[in-house]
Amino acid sequence: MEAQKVDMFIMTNSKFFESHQVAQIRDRLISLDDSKWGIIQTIQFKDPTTILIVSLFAGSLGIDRFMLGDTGLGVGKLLTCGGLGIWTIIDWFSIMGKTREKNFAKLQLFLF
Amino acid sequence: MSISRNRLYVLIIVSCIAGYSWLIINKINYLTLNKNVNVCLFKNITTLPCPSCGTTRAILSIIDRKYLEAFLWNPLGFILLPILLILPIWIVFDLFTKRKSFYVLYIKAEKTIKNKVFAYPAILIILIIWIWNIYKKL
Repeated sequence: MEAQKVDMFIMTNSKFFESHQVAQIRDRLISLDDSKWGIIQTIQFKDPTTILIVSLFAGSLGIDRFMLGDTGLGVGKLLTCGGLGIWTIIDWFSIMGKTREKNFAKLQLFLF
Repeated sequence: MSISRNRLYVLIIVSCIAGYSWLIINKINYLTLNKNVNVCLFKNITTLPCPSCGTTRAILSIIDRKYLEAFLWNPLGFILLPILLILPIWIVFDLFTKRKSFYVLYIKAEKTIKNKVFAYPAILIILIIWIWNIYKKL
């Protein structure tokens, strides 16, 4: 793919990924076939900031985990009062990283 | 992309240990001071009980064989106590035989619960329990 297109993708979407993944994504996209550009451009990613806000307000009900697609863990969080409050607090700090990992996994489905 | 097997097992074992210690702490506290420990973030911030408030008291009532009282505290206790009893045994068994039978079931259950046929009733039940909890002023 053209470097210009790839750089545009990186610029608009870099906040959805961990910084160490961005270089890898860029290399991979450049070596990718041009026909996949249409699909890759339209993938919907989850915004880490939105999930963090949800986690801050409704973390003890497990809503953040449900939004990420971890339904099992969400149910676990809901039934245990957010893991006695401890799990909720841990998630306040780790949920943004988790969201970025999920986004990367989602993109990987199209990259490889 | 889902959670890996080992990570899930570690998480469940840690939560089961935490769960049992929590029950013991509550039991001792109830016997000595006759009151409950309250750590629920949601309740402490909003003063409203959360859907799972009262589950500890429900489980302690089930252990004392007061089933009706347990149901009136929180019906979720009847779901959580079997989970707390069965899961550690199952996972230790899985770990020793190097199988992943529980992990397979977990992934399947996760897919099933995302189906609307199961998701909507589950949400409805949780909401009813929540409204009941607020009404009871737990």
